This record gives sequence, structure tokens and C-alpha cells, in this order.
Amino acid sequence: MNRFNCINNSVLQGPGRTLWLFLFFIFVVGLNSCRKEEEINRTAIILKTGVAYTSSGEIVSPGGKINIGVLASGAGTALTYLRIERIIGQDTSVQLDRGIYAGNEGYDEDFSFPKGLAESEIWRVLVMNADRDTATASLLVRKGEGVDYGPIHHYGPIEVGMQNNASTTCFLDLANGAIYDAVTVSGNESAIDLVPYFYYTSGLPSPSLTCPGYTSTVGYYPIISNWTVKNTTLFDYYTSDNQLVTPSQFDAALNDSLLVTAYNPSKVSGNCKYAYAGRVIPFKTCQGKYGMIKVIQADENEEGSILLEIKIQQ
Amino acid sequence: MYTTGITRWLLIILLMALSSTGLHAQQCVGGQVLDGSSGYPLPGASIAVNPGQGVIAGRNGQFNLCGLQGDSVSISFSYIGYKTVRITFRVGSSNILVTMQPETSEIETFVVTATRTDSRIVNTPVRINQLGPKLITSLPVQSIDEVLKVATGINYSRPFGILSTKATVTMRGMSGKEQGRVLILVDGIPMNKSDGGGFDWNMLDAAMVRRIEVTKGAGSAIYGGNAMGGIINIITRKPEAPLFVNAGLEYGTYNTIGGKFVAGGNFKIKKPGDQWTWMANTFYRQSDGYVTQSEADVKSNPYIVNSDLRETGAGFRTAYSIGGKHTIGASLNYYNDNRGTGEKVHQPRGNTTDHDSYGVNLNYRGQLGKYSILSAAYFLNEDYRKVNEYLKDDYTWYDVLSTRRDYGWLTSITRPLGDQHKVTGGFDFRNGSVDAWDKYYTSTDIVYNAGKMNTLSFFLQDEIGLLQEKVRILAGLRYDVAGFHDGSFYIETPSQETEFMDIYQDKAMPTHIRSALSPRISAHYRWNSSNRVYLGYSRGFRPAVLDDMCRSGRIKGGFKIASPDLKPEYLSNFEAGTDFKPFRSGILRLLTMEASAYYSLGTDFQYYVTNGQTIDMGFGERPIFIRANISEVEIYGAEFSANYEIVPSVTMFAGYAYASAKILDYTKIAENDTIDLFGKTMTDVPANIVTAGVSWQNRILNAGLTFRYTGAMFINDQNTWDELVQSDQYPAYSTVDLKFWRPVFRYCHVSLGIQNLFDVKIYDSKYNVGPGRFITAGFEVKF
Repeated sequence: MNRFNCINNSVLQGPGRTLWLFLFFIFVVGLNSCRKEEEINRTAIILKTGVAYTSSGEIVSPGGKINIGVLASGAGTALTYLRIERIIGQDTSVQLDRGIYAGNEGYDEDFSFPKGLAESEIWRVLVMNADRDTATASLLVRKGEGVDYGPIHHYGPIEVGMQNNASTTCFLDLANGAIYDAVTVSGNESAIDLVPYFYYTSGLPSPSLTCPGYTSTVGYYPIISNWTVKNTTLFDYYTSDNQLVTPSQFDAALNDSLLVTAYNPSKVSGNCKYAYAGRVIPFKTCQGKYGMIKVIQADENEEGSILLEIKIQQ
Repeated sequence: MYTTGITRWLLIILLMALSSTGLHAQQCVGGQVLDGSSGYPLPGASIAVNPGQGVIAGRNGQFNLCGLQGDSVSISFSYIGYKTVRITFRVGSSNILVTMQPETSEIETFVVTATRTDSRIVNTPVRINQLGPKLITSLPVQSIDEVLKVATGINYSRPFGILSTKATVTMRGMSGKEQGRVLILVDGIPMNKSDGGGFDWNMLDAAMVRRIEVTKGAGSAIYGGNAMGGIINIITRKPEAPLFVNAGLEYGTYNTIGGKFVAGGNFKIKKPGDQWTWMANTFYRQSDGYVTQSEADVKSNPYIVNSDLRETGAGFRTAYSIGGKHTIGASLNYYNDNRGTGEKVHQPRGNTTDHDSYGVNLNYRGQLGKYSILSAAYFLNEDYRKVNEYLKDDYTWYDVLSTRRDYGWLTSITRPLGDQHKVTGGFDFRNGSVDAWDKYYTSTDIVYNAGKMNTLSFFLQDEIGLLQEKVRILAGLRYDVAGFHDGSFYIETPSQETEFMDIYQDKAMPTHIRSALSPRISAHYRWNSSNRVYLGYSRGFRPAVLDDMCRSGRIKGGFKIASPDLKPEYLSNFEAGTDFKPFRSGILRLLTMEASAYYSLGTDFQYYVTNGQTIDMGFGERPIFIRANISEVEIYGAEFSANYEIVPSVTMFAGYAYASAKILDYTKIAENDTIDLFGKTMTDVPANIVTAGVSWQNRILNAGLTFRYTGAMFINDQNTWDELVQSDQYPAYSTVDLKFWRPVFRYCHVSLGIQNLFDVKIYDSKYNVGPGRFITAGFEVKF
């Protein structure tokens, strides 16, 4: 035996010490096994009323706006989920499906959607808290006479630079068709809805459209990390990938009818890959404006640019 | 007078008888020869006074050497693998216990893994590597799996050091991505989970491990599933003193703080041969960790934080030995960890993994006449929770919750048949189950998957010794039959988050029964104590795991669907090797060398393949994969190792392993599958591994230095260019580890360990980076 080995049988012998050691381990095991019973807090929701909001039973013409204001509370537990559905007879379509995180301050946000062609629509809002307790509120909207499709702005062609383009500006305000560079964007951050970038994904070159609110955008535009307002624009990548709207349909759009109907809310993302020339990408801005982008030309490198034509609700 | 006369005659006869007995006893010496480290008898040991005058120890190591002259006699005891000793006895002595010490101080002479019996390593015709306490002490390990990275040919992965949520240890051309192709045992209890085939290496406290036995090649003939590439048996410490206490503290890189406490003892009960032993341990460790993600990820994600660690564990084991022939034991282990995985948005600890595990084991080991019985029942439970949260377009938060249970009853009975056979037979029953769900908080979805697998197995094995043990044959056959049932995958209150999975729901997956027949035949010829050649064939299999059979969900690069019809995969292994000692005397007398070569053919290998369809999970179309038995693989390689114990205090070792693992055949399951894996090299298998080390123990400062080179490995199944790694292979890398330790004062030890001395950066497939240099200082008290 090594002479430095510290085993000293005489020091700790005896059943008393053994019992203490045994009890200590039982204590450690027991301590780690304790669990608290779960409590569930109840979720509450109300839809805002007033002239700015659509009231239940109100008549709205097709294409007209349905304005829904949501006030919700998780009653001590964070609200984590919001869903807005349009129900026509037995058919339910999800218009908004969003993960949120609203703590004790509760949730307060307004939304607008276009009225469809159905005689009546039920708009149901569901919120859920982290205890997975849900609450819903609904309103009924009836179809009005005629149509109420609105006017649109048409901008373009607009050249927007990719992330490493030193000469072309990169920050685009879709509502006004205005474009800013890293200097002039100061003070206009809250107006920016789109920034482009280029990268390879799944082995394919991908000119991409994204928005300040999409988390990984700061990797391409670090300046955005300091912005206090980061708008999230949702691009309908499904319609783009499958080329469901043709450039000629885009060209023919004179009001927002196509803009609101082409947008499929179930297949949207703040990042739209494969924005190749000839593709038409429906989108919805953070302010609730529907629009479409036609890609005229897209470079496949980080120093290049992308040429866009835009139609958006006024 | 008459009575007096008879009494006198009786006394004379008795005295003559006693005198006769005494004279006879004075000419003999008798006793038993035992292994010095384990106390096992050594049948076959040679006991000799002079050449030509001696006996061979019997089955229980007993001997009786007669015909001696004089008052004392010098007797030589020799045996293969042991130091020859010569001891002088008083003639007439009986019941002598002679303990023989192994030739080298590190190697245990008895191993249990290869045969499931207590077999002498020199009598076992398979390749076994042992990692003993001396080596373990000399390594700066944070987790016990790190010991194995110095063993020859071990494919080792623990990408983030102590922060890793999983580690894998494989061998013989098996992928380093999955643990399921190598069986992990802890004191003979199988630890690979039925759910994923893996083992949570983090739950084992390195301080509780005495040694590790690594048995190379397929071992399903005796252990069944998972024993394809080999078996790793972790043997825990046993109390060796009436009472002992070890307590230690350590501090290291990334503000890592840990403490451990081990105590145990044994008590002799008044009844001869009865003994009660107990042992208990607990440990705790926490670390602030570091950012594991790539620089690009850090730039693009403001929610990235350190990956960190909190873990604790405790265990208690006890055994009662009755008359030295029967031992009943029990153990209870508990482990809990919480590892931050490096992203935090709203949750208090961000993304984490949490294991809440416990295991219970009851075992019996006994001798009933000629029958040795080993029987163990075990129950392992792991409650796993993974918190996932991230913010892209919107906030996503869900928990993966999984209860994984494995329990079983293992029994083997061994008896010698004549002098040449040791026959072992037995049965195993195992049940594995998973009950898991993904619970979303940012949508209404709950995604369930569940399944169970029962396995019943029978095995028979014969260990045959011929030509005075020069020829040893190990023959075995095992039959496993497994039933899959109660499989289900379904979604409760689906939303857009999971509606794409809707068509894959199945609340009653088809049940099925699979079976596997696993033979082994191997033999060696040992012409002297240190040299042998061996040859063997064995078949191993890996059962389908419940996660592949029951769960559909996202995987890297796409979406996988449940594959309830998945069959086991098989590996037939042919192997040859030799052990040799090039020098019989002199300074290199204790240089030993081992070489092995193997050729394996795998059939029904399980691979992810596309079913030809795509799915949109919310970010565009992605391929759908399914785990299928699609390929034949060819694996071959060679290993060479050398050990040199210059003196008991200085040991050197070196090893080299080459492995080639290629896909021979690829059966597409979809006509529009454009992928062709024919001829591709399997991923995460380094072609070359080099290990080397030296340990020097002395009075001033003990030191251990180890080196490991891990060759390049292909990253993906198609061996194509990877955008993140900017290559088709992970680059080769080398690491050097160093440890110093020494006793201080009477009861204490201090140590300093440096892992990855030269701070080599090692990246994984996501270009996440390893911990680099990791320094730990330790202080330990032993009573």
C-alpha cells in the first residue's frame, strides 16, 4: 500500500458514524426528489370596442377592413399564444398564428384583415398562457353591398443592395417605397420593412428578403441590433416558391384585391429565400398593409443587389 | 491389571498411529493458491520444489506437495500472467494460502465481460482492453467516458466537454454519432436505453469507477442487442477497508466548481464468512460554461448565451455475503442535471436539457455445489426534459418531455463439466419503453409518441480448455426474440405549428416480433505465458430503437417519420490477433504488444433515407426521411497497441487503429430518390486513431501525459461538401492532456489537470466549438 494512502481504519469506525453517513445520503436523495404541485392560472380576453374597431354584427363590404383589438391577460402567467381564425360555416381558416410572450403587463395589440366574399364570417381570437389555459372571444361580421377594395401604391423598379454592397442602399420602407443607407436610416428605423441579403442554403444560392424583426437579420446587418423598433414583415414564401402569382398578374393588379387574396397566412415567414427573378412574393407589413413584390433581377453574391417592383395598400 | 494392560496397548497403538500420521504430515506441504488482487483460486498453478518435483493446483487452487525432506522447503509457485514466487515453508504445514500477484501492476487477471463469468483474461480468446485504477488516476478526466479516449481504437465524441448533453464511445468502425452499436454495462447491467440506444455518460461519477473492461468485436452471443462493435463494462469500486471516506473539491476553467464525497466500508459479522459491505457517494458540479456557437451564429442571434451546467448525483449500494458463498446486493443511484444549451429568450434558464434519472438494482451471486449463479434485476428510469425557445418571426417555446424506462432480469448459471469445459447458460428478460410528448406553449399542440419493446433471450456458452490450457475455445449461441407493441404517434389540438404532421398520426402502430440468432466461436493458442494467437467469428445485432419506430419529427435537414416496421441490423465479424512479448528478460521484459485485424459485414443497416416526398414545416419544402434497413456495409480495420511497464511506477502505452467503413449496397425506397450511397464512407468514423501516454508515479510529483490523434471523418452520408465546415470531412486533430498529482500532509491529495494542453479548437457539424484548454485543480481528503 502506498505510504501516502490516507485510509485510517481507526478514525471512523463504528456503527454510529455509519448511520450518520447513511442518513446523509438518504437526505441528499430525498432533497433532490421534492417537487411542487402545479397551479394553473386562468387566461382572460376581451375584444376592444369603439369606432376604431369592428363590432360584432357589423356589416363590411368585401375587401373592407375588419379591425380587431385584443386585450388579454394570463393572470400571473405569461401569455404565450395568439390565434385569430376566420370561420365560414364549417370551414375554419387561421389568419394569424403567433407565439408571443406577454408577462404581467398583459397583451394589447390591434389587427386588421380584409373582409372576404362570404355572407357572414365569425372572427374568433384565442389566447393561451404558459399554463396552457386558453380563452376565446369572437365577433360576427356580415357582408355589405358592393366591394371595398382599396387603392394601392406602385413603386419601382427599386434597387436594393445586398449585405456587403458598398454602393447601394439596403433599407427599404415598403409603405412609401423609400430607401435608406446606414447613415440616412437613422431616425427612420421604425419605417424599415425589408432588407435583402444573399447566402447559400441547402446547397443553393439564395437571394433572400428579410425584415429587421427577423432574429438572424442582425447577422447580416449588425446595425439593426441597436434599433428600438424592428418591424416584422411576413413574406408568403409558399406562394413565391410555387409561383402561384405570375408577373403578369402582378402587373395587372390595379387595386388591393389580389394583394389581400394572394397572401396565404399559413405559409409565411419573416425570411423569404430563393427570391429569384420572375418571382412574385405576397407580404403583410407590421402595420397590417398587404402587398406584393415582383423580383426583376437578383444578383447571386453578397456584394450585389436586387431589383424590385412593389405594390402595397395605400 | 487386565484393564491396565489393555489401556497400555491402546495407548501404544494410538501413539504409533499418531506418530505415523505425524511422520507422514511432516513430509508434506498443503494449501491453496489464490489470485492476489481478486482472491479467486488459481487452478492449474504450478507448485514445484525442483524441476520434476511438483504438482499442479486443483480446481479450487488447492495443492498438497509430499515427499519432502528436512525441516523446511523452498517452493516455487508459477502461473501464466503472474509473477513467479518462491517461498520457504516448514515441512508439515497445511492450509497455507499463497497469493500470487499479476505480472504487471495494472492488469486485472480476471475479467467478467467477455464471457459473463469470472474468467482469467489469459484464458479468454477475444480482444480485451483494460483500463485500470492506475491509468484512471493518471488522467485529467471530468467524466468517466474520457478515460476511454486513450484506449486503442476508441472512437470518442464529447464535443463540448463537461457541457455536452451527450457523449458517445464506439469502436471498430462504428459511427461516433450513435451509442447504440456498442453495449455499455455498469457492473454487468445493460445501460443502453431502448428509446434511443444511448447512455447518459454524465450520470457516472468517475470517483466511483475501479476499472473499465473493453471487449472488442461483436458480443451479442452472450449479451444480445447493442453488442455489435463491442462491449464496455464499467466496474465500480468495492469497499476494501472497514471504513473509508473520500471527499474532494475541484475548481476549473469557466468557473467550474465541483465537490464529491464517497464513503464505504465492510463489517465482518460474527458468523464466519458473513460480511456486510456498503458504499455511498454524492457529487455536485456547476459551471458558467462558454458560448459554444459559431461566430456567425453569435452575430445573427442576440439571444445566444453561455452553455452552462448544474449537476448532482448520489448513490448507495450494499451487499451481504453469507458464508462466503452467497452474496445478495442492492444499489440505488440518482442523477439530475440541468445543462444550458446556449440560447435564452424569455425562460429563466433559456434552452436547457434536464435529466432526472434513477436506477435500482438487486442482485444475487452464489455458489450452489458446482453451480455458480449470477442473477440481477434492474430498473432504470430517466425523465428527460428539453426546453426549446427561440425568436425568429415570432416566439416559439416548447418542452420535449420523455420518460424512458428499462427494466429486466438477467440470470446466468455456470458449472464446470470435467476439467476442460465451463458451461454457462441463462436467460434475460428486458422491457424498454418510452412515453414522450412535445408540449408547446406558443401554440396549442401536444405531440405524443410512445412504444414498448419486450425482449426474451436464451444463451448457452462453453469455455473449453485443451492441452493444459494452451488452447482455449469460446463457443456460444444466443437467441433473442423481441416484441414491439403499444406504439403510437399523435397530436392533440394541432395548430399551424404541427399540422404538417397530421397525416402521420397513428394511435395504434402495428405490433411485430423480431428475432436474432447470435453465434460466436473463437479460439486461441497460447504457447507460453505471454504469447498467443487468436481467431474468431461472432455476430452482433442492434435492435431498432423506439425513437426511430414511434416518433415523427424534425431532424437536421428535414423531417423524419416513424418507422414501426424497422428491423434490427446485424454485423458478422471475423477477427484474428496476437499478443506477444518480444523480450523475455532485461529492461524490456515487461513490454507487451497486441495486434488485431478484423473484417465485418453489416446487413440491414439502419439509415435515414428519403421516401421521395417533401414537407413544409414552416420554412419551405424539406425532404422527408425515414429510418430504414437499406444498406450493406463493409467494415475492416486493424489495431496495434504496446504497453511497457518500465517499473511499477512508470508505465507507457501507445496504440494505433485503422478503420474503413463503407456502404456496399444501397436499396432505395423511393424511385425518385436521387441519392446513391454506394461506396460512400460512413460518417463520424475516423480512419486513423493514434493514442499514447506515459504515467510516472514517484514521491515528489506524480505525472500523467496522454496524446490522442483523431483522423478526419466524413460529415454527411453522401460525403458531400458541407457549407459550414467548408469541407467534406471534419479535419483531423490532436490533443495532449496532462495531469500532476501528489499526496500532501497525511490524508490529502492535490491535483492539477490540463485537458487539451495546446488549446486546439474542435468544431462539430454546426460549426459549434469545443471548450479548448480546460484546467482543473483538485483537492481531496481520504480517511
